Amino acid sequence: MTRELRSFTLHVELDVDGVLAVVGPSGAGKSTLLRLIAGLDAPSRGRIECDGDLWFGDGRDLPPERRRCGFVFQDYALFPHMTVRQNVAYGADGTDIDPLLERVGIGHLAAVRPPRLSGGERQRVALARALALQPQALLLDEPLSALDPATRGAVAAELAAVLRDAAVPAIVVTHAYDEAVSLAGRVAVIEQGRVVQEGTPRELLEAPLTSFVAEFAGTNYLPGMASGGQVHLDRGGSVRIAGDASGRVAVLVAPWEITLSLAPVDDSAQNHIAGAIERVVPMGNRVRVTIDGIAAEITPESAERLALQPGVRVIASWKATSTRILATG
Amino acid sequence: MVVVGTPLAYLLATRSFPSRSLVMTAVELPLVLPPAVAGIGLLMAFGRRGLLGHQLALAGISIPFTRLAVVMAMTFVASPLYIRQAVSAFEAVDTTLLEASRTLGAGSGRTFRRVALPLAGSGLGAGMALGWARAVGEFGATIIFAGSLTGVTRTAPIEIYLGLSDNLDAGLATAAVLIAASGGVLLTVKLLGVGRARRFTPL
Repeated sequence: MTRELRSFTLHVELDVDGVLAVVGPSGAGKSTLLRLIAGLDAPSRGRIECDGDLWFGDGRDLPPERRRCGFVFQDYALFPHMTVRQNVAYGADGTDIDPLLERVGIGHLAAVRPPRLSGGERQRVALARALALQPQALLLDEPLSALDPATRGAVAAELAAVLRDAAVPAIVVTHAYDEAVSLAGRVAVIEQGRVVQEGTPRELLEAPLTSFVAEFAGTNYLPGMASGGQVHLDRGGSVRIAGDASGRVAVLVAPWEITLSLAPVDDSAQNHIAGAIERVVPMGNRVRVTIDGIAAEITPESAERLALQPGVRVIASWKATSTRILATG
Repeated sequence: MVVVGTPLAYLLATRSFPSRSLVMTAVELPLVLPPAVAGIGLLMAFGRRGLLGHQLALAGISIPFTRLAVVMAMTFVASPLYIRQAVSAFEAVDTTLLEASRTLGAGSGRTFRRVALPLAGSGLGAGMALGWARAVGEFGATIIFAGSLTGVTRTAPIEIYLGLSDNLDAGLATAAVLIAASGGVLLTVKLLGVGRARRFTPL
């Protein structure tokens, strides 16, 4: 479907089966995409079908209330004047909602009004309210972004389980790779209103087609000019690669392929970039270190041993064979 | 005023259409019109030789100098106050809530009744109080369009005015009743407003 936006046109073709994560820079048209599917905005042209039902196209534009499309809004949009039970029952059409309240763990909150709920509780109410509709499809707009990082992980796991149980096509807009991995089997990346890449999270990580996808998946993306076994990087310096290439390319290096050392080393790692550490971010069982725009992931033990901290000059090394090349034309 | 004005205000608040500001201006016109002009206008429209009055007279209906005329005069001058207040009350309702209601299978009507109306409630109440106060105090348009027939179209302010010349005590008594009633309404609205605000904000 197509829809003109202020500065560009959203043009998207998606076939959703299971859970699809939609990611992209802010302003790429992700939220608009959900609004078009839900019927809150109308595409200029195109076609929206769900499970054989035509929602939009051929002169038809089904109003949102007749699409049975569960929508979890970014700020949850719970009705403040209704209790949790009334909120969830709003679209339930008289069916018993108690089992649903129990399933998402808000049974004890049934009589409470939304303003008194925590962020995680609101998220569950919003989800339960959308599920009570017995939707044909589910749309979730950054369902975890309003939560603090501590609750986000746990809620993400619950959400993934609920989405699996619901067994309806679902689209989750997110801006974090780990959320996309935990919630969805496939990821579509939207930039400037177009789907620039669609695939499994693994595929995005291994073969990102744009610098945004690489950055989103956490891979280093270094554009440059290739000739023979060398790539002259736009940022300066050159790296050796396995095999031959020519023309405009991007050098891809996974952060965990990069080792760090304090003194120059002479080993089979053939690429070295020296620079000062910009950031040291612990991420669970890894530590992510950024050197001059290049991300490396090392074990906490190594980080400890090397006494890494911002400002320290280190040498980042990786093998030519762990370098991948993407022709960028 | 409330029955027609509320849906009108909802439409003005939630839809944007080309003639929106035109409608808004028409709604607000009685606000800037001197009441005497409003009274003359109503008389010209509904009087026996008025634009519509002639047709109505043929159908056996005469509006001027009846109770209906009082109501019409009051509605005419008071409705802008209510509608303006109602528009801003509806505009203050988060549109995402209305959209959420739609995605949950509620049509526009049900969304209006179950989400917009309750959430705009205190604003609507305040608007009604304002409109009511303006209507009760209405003098100019009423006396021109409805006259001052004892027991039929003699409103409280007219009673007070007449009291000045022939029965000051009656005038004072009427004034006292108006003060009490107006004060009571204002107080009720304020209390209702506080109660609602307390219920909907996090503690």
